[in-house]
Parts: sequence; C-alpha cells; structure tokens
Amino acid sequence: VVKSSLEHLLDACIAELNSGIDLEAVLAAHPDHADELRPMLAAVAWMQLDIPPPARRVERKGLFMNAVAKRRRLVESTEGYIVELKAGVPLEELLARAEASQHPMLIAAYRMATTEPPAPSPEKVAAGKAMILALAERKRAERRAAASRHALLRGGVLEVVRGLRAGPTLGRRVWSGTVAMAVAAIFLGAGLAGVGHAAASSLPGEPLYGVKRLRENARLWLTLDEADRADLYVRFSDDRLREILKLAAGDRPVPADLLLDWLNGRPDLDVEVGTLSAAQQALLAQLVRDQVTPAARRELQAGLARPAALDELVAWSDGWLAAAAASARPASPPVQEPEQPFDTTLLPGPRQQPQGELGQARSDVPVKPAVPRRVDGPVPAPSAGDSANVLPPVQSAADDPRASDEDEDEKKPGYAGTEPGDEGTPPPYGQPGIDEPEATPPPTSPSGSGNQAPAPGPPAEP
Amino acid sequence: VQEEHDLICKAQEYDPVAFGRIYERYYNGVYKYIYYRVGDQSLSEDLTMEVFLKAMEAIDTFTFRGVPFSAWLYRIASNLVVDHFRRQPAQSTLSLEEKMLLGVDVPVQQLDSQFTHEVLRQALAELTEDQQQVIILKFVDGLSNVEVAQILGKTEGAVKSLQHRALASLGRVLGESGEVLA
Repeated sequence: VVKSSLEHLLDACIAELNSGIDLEAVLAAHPDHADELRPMLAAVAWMQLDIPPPARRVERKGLFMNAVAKRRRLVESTEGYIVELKAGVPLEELLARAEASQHPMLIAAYRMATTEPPAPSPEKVAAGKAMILALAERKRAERRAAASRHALLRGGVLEVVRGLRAGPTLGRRVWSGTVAMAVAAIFLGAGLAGVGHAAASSLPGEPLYGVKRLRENARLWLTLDEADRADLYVRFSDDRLREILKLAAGDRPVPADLLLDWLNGRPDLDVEVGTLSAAQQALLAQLVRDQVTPAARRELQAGLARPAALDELVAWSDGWLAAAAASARPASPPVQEPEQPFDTTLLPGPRQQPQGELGQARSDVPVKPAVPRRVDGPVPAPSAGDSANVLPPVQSAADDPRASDEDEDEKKPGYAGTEPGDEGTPPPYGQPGIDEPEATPPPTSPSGSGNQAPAPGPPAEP
Repeated sequence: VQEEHDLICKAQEYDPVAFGRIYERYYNGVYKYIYYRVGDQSLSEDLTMEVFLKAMEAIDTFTFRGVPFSAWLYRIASNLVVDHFRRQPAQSTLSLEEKMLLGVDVPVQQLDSQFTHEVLRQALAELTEDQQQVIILKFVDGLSNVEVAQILGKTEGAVKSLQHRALASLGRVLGESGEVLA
C-alpha cells in the first residue's frame, strides 16, 4: 500500500508531536494542510497526553523516587520517635529533635499512649469470667461424654462382644442363623416387608415386638465383622433403653429382661446415663428406686455379665433422688401410684426367654406399698411363681420423645440416636427433644467411678 | 510463646482454668480496643464478653501459624464491632458535651480524664478503619508493628505508613480541636 502524501505528512507530524513539539507549532509548520491535520493530530495529542517523552519520563521518575525516599525517611523517623516514646523517652526531648511537621503526630501519639479509657465494671468482668468458666466446664463435659461414647463404640464394646457373646454362643449362633433364615423367609417369601418396619416401632408386650427382636438377632448373626457387631450391640442396647423409658413414661410394665438387655449392652453406664436428658434421668431413677429391691437386685445381677453395673445404676439412682429431695423445688415429675399391683421382688427371667412373654403384668403379684421404696433389709425370697419378669410402671409427667420408635436399620452403625436435623425423628440422647419437658437438671454419673461425668449434685431450677 | 501455646492447647480441651487465664490476660486489651471503636463503656463490656464467648466457641479452629493468640482475639473483636455498627448504624454514643447538655450525670472527678479520652475517641473516629486499628493496637494496647501487621493482614512497612498517616490526621484533628497542643 502506497501512502499518500498526506499520510506521510501525518506521520511526520506525529513524530514531531512525540518529540515534544507543541500541537500548534506543528500545525503552524504546515499551514496548507493545517485544517485537515488538526483533528487527527489533536486526537493523537490527546491520546498521548499522559505519555511524556522519554527524557521527561526519566526526569519525572527521578522526582517521584526522591519523593518516595523522602516520605520513607519521614515515616521511619516517625517510627523511631514512636519507639522512643513508648520506651519512656520524655515527649519534650523528642519534640526538641523532631521536625516541626512531626510535632502534632508525636503529641497525638503521646496522648493516645497515656490516656486510659474508663475502666470496665469489676462486677461485669467477674460475671463474664464466671460465665466463661461455667461454659468451659459444660463444654468439657460434653466433649468427654462424646469421646467416651465413641470409645465405647469402637473399643469397650468389642470386649463385650467377645466376652459376652463369642464364648458360649456356637449353639446360639446356629440358633440365630436358623432364626435369621426363618425371618428372611417370612419377609421375602410372604411379602411382609412392611412388618419389619412396623415391628421396629413396637414395644415389649406388643404383638410385633418378638419380630423386632428376631430381626435384631438375625442381623447380629449375619454381621461377621466384630466392630460392626459391636456397633449393633450398642444400637440395640440404645433401643432397649428407649423402650424402658417409653414404657415407664406411658405407665406400662417394664420387663426385667429389658433392663438386663440394656445393661448387658453397656460396659460403662457413666456415658449412657450421663447423656440422658433430665426428664429421662428422673424416670429412670424412679424406676430403679421403685423396682430394684435388694432381692430383685441379686436376681437381676445373676443375669448380668457385669453384675457391678446394677450396683452402679442403683448408686446413681440413690444419688439422683437424694439430690432431688434436697432441692427446694421438686426435682422430678410426680410419681403416681400405679393402679395395678406390681412385683416387688422383681425376679429376672432367663436371658433367652421368649420375647412374647415379656412385659406381661401378672395378677398374682403382691400389692405395691403406698410409697414405693427400695427395702434395704432382708426380703423374703420370692416364690417360684413370682418370676414375672416385670418392672411395674412408673408414671411420667410427659412422654419421652426419644422413646418414639423408628426403624434404625437405615441409621449408621454405632449411632444410638438420630442425625441432627432429622425431621420427625427424636434427637440423640443428651439433646433436648422438641416436646421434652425441661425437667430438673440432675446428677449424672451412675457411679462413683464416673470421673468423666459431672458429679452428682442437687438439681437446679428448670 | 511456649507458655501461650500450652495455654491454648489446654483451652482447646475446654480446660476452665486455661480459659480463666486467657480471660484475665487479654480482657483489658480487648476491652480498650473495643472502647475506642464504639465509645461506650457498657457496650464495650458487652462486646468484650461476646469476644470471649465467640473465642470459646471457635477455639477448636485456632491453629498456631506464628500469629499470636491476641491477634486472633482482636480480629474477632474487630468483626464484632463491624457487625455492631452494621446492625445499628444510626445509634451513636453521646459526646461528653452532649451528655452534659442533656443533663446526663457525669461525676466531676471523672470529667478531666473522660474529656480527654472522649476528645481522642472523636478524633479517632475521623480516621479510616485501618488507621484507627493501627493507632489503637499500637498505642492503646501497646502491640508491636509485627503484631499489628499480623492482625491486619498487612506488611510491617504498610503498618508504619498507616501509622504515619494516622498520626498526621490525628494530630491535625486534635490541633484543630485546640486540645492536644494546649
């Protein structure tokens, strides 16, 4: 492309502009084309307004760098005076050395460093500290409970699995396997899958409860991994406690086997009882007080792999109730006298007693005293006909939301409650339920050995 | 440093004793910082308490990366102050003159000191957010440039520069008020 003469002229003029010659001077040098060149050269000049020629750029950069260096010296100088000021050098001495422009800064710094704001109220400071300490204590207890629970799932329960179930259970496993196959045949063959779900919400004494226990046994038999089996034991033990609490809350008989199954699934009661809500602890404490008499205690212990567990439970119940009695206000829901007579001797039944017989109140048991109390003195030995396996009912102020039943088959192994946020399902132990009454905060540890749970104390006000 | 490390480790186990020591050690600094930002004693006390509660809630998330624990607390405090002003932008504390005009009872023996820190607080309010933080952290809480830089997430040089500009502004404001140079 051949440039026209005007284009050559434009290039020459732009070069002149770039060399620093003023726009008007360039145009004046080409008067014949000034009108044509003016808009184009004006645009070029405008675009290059901020791009000074190289020589001027070097000059400006030098000025800028000098200004930066001067500023930096001033900043460092101020910093030096500040350091001296904070080190205790008198202000007057610094003012004598500093530049006049720095005086207001140094005085302002001096005022800032030497002026104290109004002191906070000592009462508020102390109250805040007390609150912090109390919260820290509570959080530590929560953390320890959670840690202990986790340890149970992955550690201690393994011992239970090995110790309680592994030894004498070859025949038991064969029996359970047969049962499992029978259950599978029932569910798959007869198309009664819904029965399993319905059975999961059943309670002792109800028609489907036996199915629920058969399913549990089948699951245990089919679970080969010991850790997974341990998780299942914990879950099923949690179920037993839920059932106990729900029966007690609903004024229904509590089978002794249920208590045994719960205790046998728990090597450490501290964690389990300590994480119950206050209302649940109240229910449990009263149940134990009323029904675990010395005679019944011996019988029950015979069915326990760790007999001391029952002693710990009783000790916890005694401590809880004593603390509640010492409180100014009633610590627990009022106990209503059961309308039906109950078995004061509480004879436990054999561990493998058919589930269908559990939870059936007997009509031939002695009448309950007006105020149920555990008898510390000798108790007449129960007759053979008293082996009713029934824990009489305890009245609760409110039903236990945690005792609501759900099929836990879908829950992750080892998790005794529900995931937070699950709608329509009860919260895990230790977390308040939606409609759970705010009962008296109670002592928590079932035994003196429980150094991981808060020490028993009088119930606080709700 | 090791002592602070041990203390925080214990606090992360929710040791009440450790939390008590943390509270005692850092309360005054956090309180002063908040006071000069909000200018109200009662509110400062409440926000200071909130700082420690939040610190307890989040103590698990604190990790040692060469930043002092106080820097973490001051950052919580700063966020709380910002949140406070975001929630209640229209509510400002009364100046001493306004309190006196409105007949609010101010003890005579506190007038001098209260007047001084009230003037300083109002002068501080004229500064930018970063400048305020540098001045309060350096002169009220006595932190070093390194610590201030860690709290603000800036370089030490930037802190010095901020300090210089802040003091220049502060000196000018105080000079205009006729108080600081009197």
